[in-house]
Amino acid sequence: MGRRLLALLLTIASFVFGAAGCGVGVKNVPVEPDLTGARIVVWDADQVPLAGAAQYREEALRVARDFSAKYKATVDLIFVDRGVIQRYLSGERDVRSLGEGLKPPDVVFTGERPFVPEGAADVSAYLEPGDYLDAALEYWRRESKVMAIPAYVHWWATGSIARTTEGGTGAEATSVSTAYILDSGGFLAPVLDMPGASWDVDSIAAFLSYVKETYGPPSPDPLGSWMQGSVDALYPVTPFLLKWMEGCGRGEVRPVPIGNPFGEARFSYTVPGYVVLAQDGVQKECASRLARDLAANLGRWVARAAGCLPARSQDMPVFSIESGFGYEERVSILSCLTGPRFRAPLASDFLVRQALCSAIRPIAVDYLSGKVGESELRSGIHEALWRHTKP
Amino acid sequence: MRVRFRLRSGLAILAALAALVAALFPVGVFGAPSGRVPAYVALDEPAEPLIPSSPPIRRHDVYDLKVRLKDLGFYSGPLDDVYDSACVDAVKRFQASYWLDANGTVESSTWRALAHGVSRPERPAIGSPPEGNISIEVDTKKLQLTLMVDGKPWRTYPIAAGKWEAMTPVGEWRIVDKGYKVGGPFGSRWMALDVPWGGYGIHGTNMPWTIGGYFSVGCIRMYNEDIEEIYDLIPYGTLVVVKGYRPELDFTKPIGVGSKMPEVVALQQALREKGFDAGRCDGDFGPVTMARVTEVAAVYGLSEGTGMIRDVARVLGAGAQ
Repeated sequence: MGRRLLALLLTIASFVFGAAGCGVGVKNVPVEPDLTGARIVVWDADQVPLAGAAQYREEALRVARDFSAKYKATVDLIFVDRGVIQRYLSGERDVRSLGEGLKPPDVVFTGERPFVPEGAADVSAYLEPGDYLDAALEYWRRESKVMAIPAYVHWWATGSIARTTEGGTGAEATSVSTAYILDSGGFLAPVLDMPGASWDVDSIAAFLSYVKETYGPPSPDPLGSWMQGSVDALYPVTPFLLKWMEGCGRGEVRPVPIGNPFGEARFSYTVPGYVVLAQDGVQKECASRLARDLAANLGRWVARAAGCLPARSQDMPVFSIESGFGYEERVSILSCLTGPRFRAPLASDFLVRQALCSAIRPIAVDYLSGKVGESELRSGIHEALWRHTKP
Repeated sequence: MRVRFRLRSGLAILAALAALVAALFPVGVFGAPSGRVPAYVALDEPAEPLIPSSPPIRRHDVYDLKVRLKDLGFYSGPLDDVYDSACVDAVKRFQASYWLDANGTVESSTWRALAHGVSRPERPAIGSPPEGNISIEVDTKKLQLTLMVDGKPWRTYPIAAGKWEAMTPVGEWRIVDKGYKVGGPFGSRWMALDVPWGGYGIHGTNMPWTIGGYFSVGCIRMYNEDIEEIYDLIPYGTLVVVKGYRPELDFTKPIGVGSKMPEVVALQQALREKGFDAGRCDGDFGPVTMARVTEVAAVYGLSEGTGMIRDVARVLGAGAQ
């Protein structure tokens, strides 16, 4: 009787602890869902292979094949131009007008300047918060939801010839001659994208005034000026452009925080990833899991090829070891993860921002070139704001 | 026996006379051309006689002429494209030595005489190529044209390519027209390429001594025997990939949708190398090329305005030799 009771107790105990997954040294084994027969369409985009990296397209297709084999699901991974992706995510949902043979996607790569599109699914159930860099996850968080699977942190900096050993302050970038790429999408990021930025005449005018005083008039050919050695820094610079600068043979180039008139110099960044548009059931489950695999692959690939920060914490060694950056550069880049967090804008805000940049650019050129004064600049900015931000 | 000998001798004499006549008179007189070279191909390969004039005429084939006359010991002046009095005198001496009318006018009979003794190296006759997709690869550094079957080399031929100042256009072209029995500078066969900024082709030649050098104004010259060998194997639409030297490129000049120039080929090639294939590298800047350029600009965070194409070409290293 005593033996029987003991056996019964042990059975119950093992069942209870086993099912609860709280036995010592026992981890809960996630149950793989049955995704057999699911059909997922993915829109991905090509990447520039640097430093002898493998062709990204082949890597992504391999991930899709592996996923397909593992879950017996069908994956149509197609590569679509970023322009088409942006149009689709910003509201042009008639795929027939976007390209021949395109099918509506379940998963879409966001591009380097991401935003939260209409219809993005909450993928928080498929992410373990501890697995990702906080800043990467925060970028896509909307209240309790996460609107995309983050792949990597795509930073913007000033690329400067390394003349001093103290890094990270931005001081050296302002003490050297700097050419700026006025019509780059990142040029106005310090005033339009910084956390808490207010889109107003004062802020935008103050930033342009800072650029004029610090860097001087615009160069007609900033990259050419860098190649010829007539400037020692370029702004704004992405990881890819920094690699190009290094390849020009002008010595060591360092990414330094971007100076601005509002406070401490800092990097800006975006967090490209994969948006899941499938909404329900198996389709969403399948799309989210695939997006997770693709994002992990892309994060590692870009960390190795260009020196972006992978979104998954466990992939940080790829950045540390294979990005090609030395200790000081790595520390400097990692500093972009501290401080205020950037957030993905909504599609509507993103489109306004794009329009605003285009509208401000001509008057900015005239002001920076000395053709117009501050009052004309302010009135031009006011008009652009009025035209693009008023309902 | 004697009769048979006489008959043989008579036939041999007739054949020799026919050969002599064919060598000394233009093809157009004795054999009506069955196809004319279109103007867009013939643009830079003048078929008109070279006539002494004052001031002396400049024509690119004068250089080819002077090279040959120098080789034959009739000329010792500078090698250029000026049909000057020294060259005219050399031509007259050459014509006299070949029992031609020594008038200094270089027409087909003189070109034929100049080519006398120059023939392609002996090589065994080729059979039919294996089944597969035929394409052509031209390497202007090696001065070779290779017939490819399913992307693998099948036969290689020597060529002459464009002079340094008139390089054969690098890119991916298609055969868009063909013709034969034209004669003159186009030799016995020609095939036109769809290069969008000029008339270029692959053709035979009446200056076979130029094969193996940089003599043409961009066309690809072959021995007549060689182009006759491949002519029927090459269907319309055949892909012709030309690689090798290219002129110095200038991406600071205005380039955009609709541009047709060597810079566009270099950009398309660089895009493909970096995984942003814009289709055939045909030098025609279309919307697909623009979309791919825009993509690269987005990745690099480059200018989105007027400097975008220039900057993308820079970061991709387009046109680097």
